Amino acid sequence: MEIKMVNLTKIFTAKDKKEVHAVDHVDLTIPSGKLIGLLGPSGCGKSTTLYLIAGLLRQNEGHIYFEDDEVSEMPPEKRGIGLVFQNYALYPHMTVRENILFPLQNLKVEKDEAKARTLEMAELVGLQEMLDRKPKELSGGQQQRVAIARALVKRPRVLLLDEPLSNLDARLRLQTREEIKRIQRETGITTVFVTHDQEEAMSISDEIVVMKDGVIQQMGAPQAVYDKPNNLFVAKFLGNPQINVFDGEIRNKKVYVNNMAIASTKLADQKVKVGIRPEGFTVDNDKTSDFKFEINLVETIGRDTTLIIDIPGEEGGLLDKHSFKVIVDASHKIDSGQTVHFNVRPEKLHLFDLNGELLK
Amino acid sequence: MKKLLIGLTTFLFAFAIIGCVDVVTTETAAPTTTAAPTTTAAPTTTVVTTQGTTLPGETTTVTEAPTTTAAPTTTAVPKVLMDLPDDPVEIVFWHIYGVDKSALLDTMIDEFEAMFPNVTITSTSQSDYNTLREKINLGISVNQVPTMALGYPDHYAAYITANAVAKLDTYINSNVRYEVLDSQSTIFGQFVDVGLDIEDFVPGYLAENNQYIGGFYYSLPYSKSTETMAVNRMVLKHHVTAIRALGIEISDEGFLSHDNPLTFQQLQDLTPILTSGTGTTNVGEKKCGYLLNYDSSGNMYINMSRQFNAPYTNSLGEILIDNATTLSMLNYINAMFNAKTFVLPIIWGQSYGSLNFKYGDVCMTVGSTAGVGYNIPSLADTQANLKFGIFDVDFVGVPQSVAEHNTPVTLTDGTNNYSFTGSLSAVQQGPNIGIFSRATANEKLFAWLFIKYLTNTDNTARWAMDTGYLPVRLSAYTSEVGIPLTTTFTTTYADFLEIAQEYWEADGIVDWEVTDERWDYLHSSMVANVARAQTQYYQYDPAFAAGARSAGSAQARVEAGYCLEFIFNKTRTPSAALSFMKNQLTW
Amino acid sequence: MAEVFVKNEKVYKTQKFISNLLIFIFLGFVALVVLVPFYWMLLTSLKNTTMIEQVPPIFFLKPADWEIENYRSLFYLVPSGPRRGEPLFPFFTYMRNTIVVSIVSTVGTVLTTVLAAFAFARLNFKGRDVLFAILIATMMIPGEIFILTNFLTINKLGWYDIMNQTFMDVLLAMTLPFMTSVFYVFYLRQTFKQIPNELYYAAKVDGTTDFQYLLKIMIPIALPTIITITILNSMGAWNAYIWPAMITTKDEFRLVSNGLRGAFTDSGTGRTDFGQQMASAVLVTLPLLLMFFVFRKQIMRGVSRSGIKG
Repeated sequence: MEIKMVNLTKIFTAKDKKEVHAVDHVDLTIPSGKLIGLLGPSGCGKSTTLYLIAGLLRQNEGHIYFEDDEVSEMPPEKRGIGLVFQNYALYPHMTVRENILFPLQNLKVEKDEAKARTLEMAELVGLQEMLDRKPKELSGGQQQRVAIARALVKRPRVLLLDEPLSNLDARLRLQTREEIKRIQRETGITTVFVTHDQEEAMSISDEIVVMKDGVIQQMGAPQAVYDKPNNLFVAKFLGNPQINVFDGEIRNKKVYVNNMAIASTKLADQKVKVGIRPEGFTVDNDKTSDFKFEINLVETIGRDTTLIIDIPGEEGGLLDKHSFKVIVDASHKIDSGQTVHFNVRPEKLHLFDLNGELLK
Repeated sequence: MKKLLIGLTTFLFAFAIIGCVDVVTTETAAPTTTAAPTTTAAPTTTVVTTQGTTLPGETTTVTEAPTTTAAPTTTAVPKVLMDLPDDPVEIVFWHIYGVDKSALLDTMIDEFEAMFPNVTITSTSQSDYNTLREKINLGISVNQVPTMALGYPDHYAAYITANAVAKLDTYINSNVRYEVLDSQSTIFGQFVDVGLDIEDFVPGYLAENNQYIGGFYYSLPYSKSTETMAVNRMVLKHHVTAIRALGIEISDEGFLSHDNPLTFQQLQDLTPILTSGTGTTNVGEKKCGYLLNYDSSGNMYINMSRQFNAPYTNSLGEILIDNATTLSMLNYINAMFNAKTFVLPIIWGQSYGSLNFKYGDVCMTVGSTAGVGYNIPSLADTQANLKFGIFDVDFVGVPQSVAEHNTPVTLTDGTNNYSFTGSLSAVQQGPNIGIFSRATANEKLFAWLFIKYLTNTDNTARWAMDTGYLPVRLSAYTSEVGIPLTTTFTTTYADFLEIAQEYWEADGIVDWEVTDERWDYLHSSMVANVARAQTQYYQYDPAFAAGARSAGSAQARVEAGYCLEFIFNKTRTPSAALSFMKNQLTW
Repeated sequence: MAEVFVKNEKVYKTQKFISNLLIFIFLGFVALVVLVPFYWMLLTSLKNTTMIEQVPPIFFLKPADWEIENYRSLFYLVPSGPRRGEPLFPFFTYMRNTIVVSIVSTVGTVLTTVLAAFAFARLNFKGRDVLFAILIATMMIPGEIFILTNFLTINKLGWYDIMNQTFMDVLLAMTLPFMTSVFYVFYLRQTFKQIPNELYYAAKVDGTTDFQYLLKIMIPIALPTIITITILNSMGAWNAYIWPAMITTKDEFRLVSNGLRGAFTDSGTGRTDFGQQMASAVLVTLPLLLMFFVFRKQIMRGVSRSGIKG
């Protein structure tokens, strides 16, 4: 089921009468059968977008289509969606079975069929043993799976997940996200999944949509977006540790940071923002590179070594921090205090204009 | 558990639904009372003549129903004969009687409804006098009052102010005579007079009922009582010689005079003989702790103010207590409290003195005639507490200030003299009965006939013997109509009075069988005799509602009681108690 | 402070014993305070008049001294009149009235409370908060003030017609004015407010209407609070005295509370037959006690749970 949003706008009026464009003229097509991660910092409008798709909120402008059906004015229960909430929103007074059965009862599905489908769903999420427990007797992960089963049991056209993993601890989070991925694969349902956690989004999504201030910044396969961020915001939002951004300058087809030439380019001379992924640095053992720093701290974890480099703000030219991180192979023996020369891998280097747009 | 819950809820709902249905059915079924009355109002001498041949006014042919007391002398007024209305009439009668008295009242209602089959009387208890009064006062403002109701004079004073009560004089003086033409009636073909021989009522009661503006009757006496004094005859008998030496009339068996009540002077004289002086009973010497208990301090104040001729209130609603005679009276009462001649039940932590009278803590007690039985020690009492065991109780009139009406007298407590003009007085209390003006003419007519029926000679006697109230009619004392009190015991009121008379004449030594039912009515009979003697000097308490400058009569009575209790408790001196009372009652 | 930790078993046991003893003495005392009125009612119902009046009072009574007559006389039949053949104290009539009134009033109260609380907690409409504030403000007006106005209203509606008041009139008059309670609305609204919004959204997506959501989700979740309200309201209806006395014109419509008050007072002397009164009070209390024993678990759960939620 393809979901198409055209010119979708949602305006909230705050108490002081200020209008906030939570979703701002969004055009977005979500391809059928895919798991899409809607990603952005809190307040970027991703949950609002989800609720608009669900029909829990009504847009001020624009249209939503499921395939060729326009659902813009339909109430949620008519749209054929399944929705899973961050806090699961299970009905505490009902057992797992009753929770899963509840949507079917409202749809007046025949009893035997409803029972069969409930069992089927319980099996799908692996909870067939827990059917007669109350939600509070389950772990968070189990509760989340009940919520998913409840969302899927009515065979929705679209599955919507609102921060489904945020309330889980780290281990369960990994487990559950695999589970979600698996379930989505097995059912082949078009799934939209909202999160503020880029790693989560990138790890399970077929495609991610990055949003900021109600506007879509970029959409694409996770790795593609990571590798080719459209703007500084996307570049900074994806990746952990974050991309390092320096104030730089292009002079004579060369990129300078703090008067150190680090790469060549075809672009014209101008002031730029230079983004380099932490893993985009290589150690220049020959020490011929111009790009050198004194290392403040060295952390070696497994096969990677993280070098932490402090730069005094005034002279450093680092965009918004006083230190940055570099990840290099652990085979290099580097001690703190040492000065290291770096080369930069061109594919990990991104140049942005002063407005944050990618320079091409 | 769930099933049980559902089951119980279903049951409750079922119960509730059945309840609704049940009420509806009983309501429709209620008026079909056909039972014949146990006593008919028809006197034995009645000659029932055929219709048409009888001229109205011929007394020999008139069945005096419901009033059997109309004396032949009243026939001087020509009667106007009319057909009795037979449209259905519903009368609502509000009272406060509990389950016991309601039963006899309901019997009388049955009888009345049998006489007038078109009438349905719904009698309802409103729990207590305050609720009754409140509901009527509220109801007056929204035109929702019963057809007739019981009420104290001060209640009626308020109703009259609101213009809500029917004047009864038109009925009392009516010369209309109705012929009963309903063949279902138990008095079919007989005649019913509207008029009433008011002279037959006890004058003291009547005075209370026409004290209102214009001197009209707005109510008639119904359940009346007075106070009498119970005495411990065992103690008296023990001290007969000493008592005689004081010049007090007393029989060998310890009976005081039932015609001449004791005077305060005599009580003072008796105190050293009958009391121990310490406040506690001396069983060996047969001396009580106190001489005389007054159950109601309010009545004590009011009646003694009459006996002392000390102004109290008047029917205009003026509070007159600020005078030297009243203060003198209070000082005298204070002296008597100190001498242990008088006592109030609060000393034993009680509201009534009857229990401690039975215990022997006090030799005499003044209390309502309606509460006779409470003063008689019996096997039901915890024997260990009865200091004199089970003793004989005699009843005499309440003590008076003087032996003869309007005579000057001087009392002394040893240091101070109290001089005043003494009067004979006894309180009369109990509710009256009246009709509200909102009712239709027919409703009022039958309500009136019902009042007439309730207060007729037989019924007032029956009511009196059954409940401990007193007859409101003089003729009841001489009525020859037998009234069944139990299934085996039937008596006329005259015979009822005779029980005590015979006992007293035999000086308490009678040869009645133990099973003789006269024993059961002996004390009631004593009280009835004493009360009858007291009717001559009944005084009523003027009734008035609270005004702009002073409280109502009911409040005045309450404060009067407090006044004496303050003095008794020594929380206030007599003059302080008096000025406090004055403060409470006027503003 | 070493001795705080180094405590031998014996010392510990003694301390434990003493603290337990104190706790039990305290609990015993509280239980006594609660039970004494019941005991006194039972005791008084078995005393004759003199025993009741006796000072100092009798605290214990041998079965041989029991005045069973107090109970027996309640079931004497009325010899005549409209109530002929019924027991002297119309226990069953009064009980039935009280039960009917309690049920109707409680069902009505719970209904209005649930709907109002739902509206104030869940629905968005103009002036909701102002309206709620006004409602809360009315809680400051003492209930007695309404008696007169209620009386006038009831009369205007024709439910207080002395000549022909029906049981339906009485039922409406007794229950309708008290079918709304601001306090209960406030109480339940707070409970409703604690139910997360997501549950509402989830239910919406699952295809419930607002009303179904109330019925299927909110009410079951808030059930402990609703049970508490039910209990409190039935108790209130059971104990009501002044208003039922005001509004009923006939004996057969009386509630137990009014019946108990008036039936045993001697109008002549103003004395009350406390023995009979307490005997009938025992009969009246018995069903309540039975109810409590049967529903003990539910009641305790309802009260304690909602107590914690506060």
